[in-house]
Amino acid sequence: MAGKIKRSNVIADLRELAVSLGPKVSGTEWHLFGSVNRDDPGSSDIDLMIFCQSDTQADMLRQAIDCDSLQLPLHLSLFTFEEAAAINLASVQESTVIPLSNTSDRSSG
Amino acid sequence: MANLNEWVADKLAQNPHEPKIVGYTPEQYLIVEAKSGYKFLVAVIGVKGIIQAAHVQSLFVGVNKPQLVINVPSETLWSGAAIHLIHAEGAAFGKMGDISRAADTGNAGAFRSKSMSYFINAMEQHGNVTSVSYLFESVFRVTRRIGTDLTVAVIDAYNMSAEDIRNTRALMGYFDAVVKSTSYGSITPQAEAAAESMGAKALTFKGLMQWLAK
Repeated sequence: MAGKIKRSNVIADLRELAVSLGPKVSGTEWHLFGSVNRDDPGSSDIDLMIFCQSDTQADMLRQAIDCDSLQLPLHLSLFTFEEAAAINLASVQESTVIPLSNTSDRSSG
Repeated sequence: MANLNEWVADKLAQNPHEPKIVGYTPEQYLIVEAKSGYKFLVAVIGVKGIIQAAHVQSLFVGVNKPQLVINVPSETLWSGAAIHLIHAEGAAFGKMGDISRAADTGNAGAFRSKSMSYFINAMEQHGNVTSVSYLFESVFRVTRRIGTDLTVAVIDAYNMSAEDIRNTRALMGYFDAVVKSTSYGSITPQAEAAAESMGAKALTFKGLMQWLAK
């Protein structure tokens, strides 16, 4: 499927989603990982981790994000920055940070 | 149903690698054709909240019966009673993404979530377990030979976070243990603490197997 679901389009969609959430995403870091990030064929969902400032922000984003709103179902995981650091998450998952401001994406692994 | 069918048709049509819809039954079930040519019927329901047996019972009274029942939105919970009814009719349940997976089996009614089947089989084969039944699609009542019955929630997470624990409790209610469905990845210390604060355990598959024996 990823042959047609372009990684760049998914990143653009995720940025658009983040913008639509406004101040709720303030201070968060969005990480794309898994098959879409690798541009593997046959992706069945979009793996996204969001690192949050607090438990409250993580809970709020769980409520705010519609996992059916993109081209593929969103497989969403929410962590605090502290949790992500505790298990070295970004590196382990070889994720790509999605720039929420107007800059290019970068790998974090 | 028409709007939901259109939504599903639109999603499938966006990707030429997905199965295609080749028609509708009089009951408005989708006639889906896999790349292999295999055809099956999909009923699309739009229940918000918990899907009960009453929501799906009427799908199986007509001439045409679906082999797969999907719900939109996908975040909705399937109750154990709804699942048992669907399985008793020789059908399967799932979400949008499962149409493609069911098509690949060549027998959509036999489609089962791989990760849940793995857990169910493993728990059923455990020496201290006599039966496993669905409470929800990913929450099971486990009856043991020695020890009390346990409620086990399985979550689809590569790495289990405290938010996963809180979200599982909010959605599915009580559990004695929450288990990560994938064998790789980690459970954060904060997730373990969140589970403990609820009087529950956050476990890996290996941890679950050991814990069931206690």
